[in-house]
Amino acid sequence: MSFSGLSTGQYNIKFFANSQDNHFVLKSLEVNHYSIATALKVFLLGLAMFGILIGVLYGRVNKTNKEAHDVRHSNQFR
Amino acid sequence: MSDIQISLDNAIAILVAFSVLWIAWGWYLGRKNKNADDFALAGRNVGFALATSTAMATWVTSNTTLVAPQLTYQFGVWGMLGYSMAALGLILFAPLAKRIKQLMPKGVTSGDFIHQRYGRFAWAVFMVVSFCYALGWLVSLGMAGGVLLSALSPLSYETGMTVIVVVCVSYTLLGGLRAVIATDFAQTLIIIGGVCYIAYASLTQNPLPEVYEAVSQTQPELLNLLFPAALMFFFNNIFFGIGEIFHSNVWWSRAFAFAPGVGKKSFLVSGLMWMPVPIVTGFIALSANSLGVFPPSPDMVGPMVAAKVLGSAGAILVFVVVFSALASSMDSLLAATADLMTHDLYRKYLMPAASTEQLMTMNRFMLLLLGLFTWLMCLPRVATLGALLNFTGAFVASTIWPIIYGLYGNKLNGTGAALAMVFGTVSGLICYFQVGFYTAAISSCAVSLLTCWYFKRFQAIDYKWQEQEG
Repeated sequence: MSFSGLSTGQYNIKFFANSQDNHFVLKSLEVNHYSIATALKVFLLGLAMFGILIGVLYGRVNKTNKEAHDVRHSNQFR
Repeated sequence: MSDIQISLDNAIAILVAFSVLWIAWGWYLGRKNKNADDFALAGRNVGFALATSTAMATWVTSNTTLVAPQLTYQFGVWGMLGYSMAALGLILFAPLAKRIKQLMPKGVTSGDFIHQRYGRFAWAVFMVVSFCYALGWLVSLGMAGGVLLSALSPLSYETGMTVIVVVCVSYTLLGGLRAVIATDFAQTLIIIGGVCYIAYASLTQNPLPEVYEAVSQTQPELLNLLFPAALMFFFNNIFFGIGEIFHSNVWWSRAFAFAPGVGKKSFLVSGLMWMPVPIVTGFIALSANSLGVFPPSPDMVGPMVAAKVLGSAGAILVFVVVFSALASSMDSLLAATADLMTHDLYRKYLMPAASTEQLMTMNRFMLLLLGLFTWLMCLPRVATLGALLNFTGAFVASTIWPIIYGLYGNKLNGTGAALAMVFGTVSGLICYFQVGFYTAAISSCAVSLLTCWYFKRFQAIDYKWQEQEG
């Protein structure tokens, strides 16, 4: 029987184990640790960048639409 | 392996039936293709229903059906929600699709845009980014076919992977984008119906309070909203999804192919329809431990849980749904990447005076080449699907700002755009290997943004956009 899984808390643990004939063999183990402070900094960076993306897109799309509208409007009176 | 599997006979019967169906349909639709524009862009007149379904079906892929459960299994609630936020890519692309059609009514590929707006250097960098991404996605789709078959049936990984690659190459070869869009429509119906049924059956047999109780006791970190790796993953996945859609010719070719006025509405609606799908597919992974399902690889958790809950019939249903999801994405990616290679490499630099017949022949040759390359790359199973996909995040997230500032701004020059992609990709790859796969896209996007700002501030130009001629 083979199985894999994850473990708790601030540790991101990935393991792949094999159990056969009552013998348990850990075939691979990967442990990463990140503090909650580091994770929140990355999260806030993402949030800020997402805010910028929405702001830039909203502003530029509106500006472009307005310009297109102005062009159409001026063409009507030619 | 799951205890409950599809028998060898059933697995072969389903594979043969679907293969014949999609290939025959591709051949039937391909008869209408008269020129290169028909083959590559379905005549540029795709209506709202087909446009919406192809956008949604293409975005429902191995990512959604296999990786969403994997990420839920690894990152819990954040993994599930973070994955559903990839819908923002489709939603935010809606205004871009309208702008693309306005600026380049006769455009063919995303490479056309970069070449015209930023010049040759940025175009070359963009092409490298595009190919790395396209090959990463293609390989992940081929791998997903193999993972699916080996998880649910006695067939081997190599057999499943080979079948999905051969079927998709065949019907795309025969029918071009017209076949891709039409099969996507049917595949969307299968995916939505199948996913809804699996979620309903899972909830009926394994109610929410029981799932919550089991997860609280065995894997409490999956419900922890301050799970550090998952927090880092959340925005990373958003920028990964946005980068994938903003730069890829899969979506640009659709923006060109949709009829005027259709693109914006279609991308918006397809994004909203797509958003709940990863939550549904991811949710079932939370039941894994309580059901005693321990997959040998985390990307197999979704099919194995569904097969355990629903029995043999469930395994068949999962098989059909995931097979459709894989096909709907792989065909689109094959068609779009072959277009990119034909129009941006062959037509631009090797054979500018190529006739429409020569372009169609070259497009088909590129399709075959891509299929063969994908098959070879899939043979050694190098990584899990999630890890492989997020590797490409370092590449695609670097293109977000050059695309936006190119479509809507006039200050960013070609050197700035190229260096933004180079610096972004390099920093993303460093973070991928040094920190984890869930930081590749976010770091790439941040460095790309800073580079664009620098060039807009200190080396600004005044680009005058002129509509593409010819």
